[in-house]
Amino acid sequence: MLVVHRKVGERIVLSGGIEITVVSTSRGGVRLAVTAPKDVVIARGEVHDAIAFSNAAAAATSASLFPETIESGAQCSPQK
Amino acid sequence: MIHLSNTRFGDISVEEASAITFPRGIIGFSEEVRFTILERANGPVAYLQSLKSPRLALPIIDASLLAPSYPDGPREELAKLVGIDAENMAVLVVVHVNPDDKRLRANLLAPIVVDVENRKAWQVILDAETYGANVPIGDAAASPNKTSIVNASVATAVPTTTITSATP
Repeated sequence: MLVVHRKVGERIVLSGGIEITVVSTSRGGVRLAVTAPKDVVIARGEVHDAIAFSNAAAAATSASLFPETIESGAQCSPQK
Repeated sequence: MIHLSNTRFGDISVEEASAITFPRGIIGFSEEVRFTILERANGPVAYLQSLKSPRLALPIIDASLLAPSYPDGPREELAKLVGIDAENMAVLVVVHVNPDDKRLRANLLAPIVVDVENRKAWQVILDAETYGANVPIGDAAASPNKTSIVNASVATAVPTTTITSATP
């Protein structure tokens, strides 16, 4: 983990074309601007965690959803 | 052919061409970058099956079955999020059964956007103020988030009898 001091207007650069700029600070808070390639996931930590939790719940419950009715080896393309 | 042993559906084989690449993985499963879609013989729920981890399969529903308007706004906006052509875009929603109330819930906050042409996909994050990650489908009244997208067609597409029988 890198811990670094930045002033307003200064940046942190990550590989993969990701930059984080400190826009402003207020009492107890900091406003950040993130730039990244289009397909990079950017989210507040708690939102990311909620989605990860939901995905894990999906993975955990798939076995109990209609378990015996899968077509053997069936696969398809998603429809438009 | 890709052979997978000991999946939730037994030993299966799928065509190489059926693979879908997630360049950034699935949220919470960032190492999982290759999947395929397994369709059930009947019903709207399919599975996003990992080609790396046989035991990993996420139930999914075609988003258009939930509501034609989901998500709000033009399709081009959604396609632009991942830089693909809206013409080639399919939208899938991950669903799960809540272990407590046994109800089917949809992750409307983070749909899966598929480029059908190039067989690439991304799980994108929409506005957390508008969409929930655990929205009950088929019972709009109980949902604190974005109830309006759940319409009558859900009850048709996902019969309640089938859902309530889905106990482990």
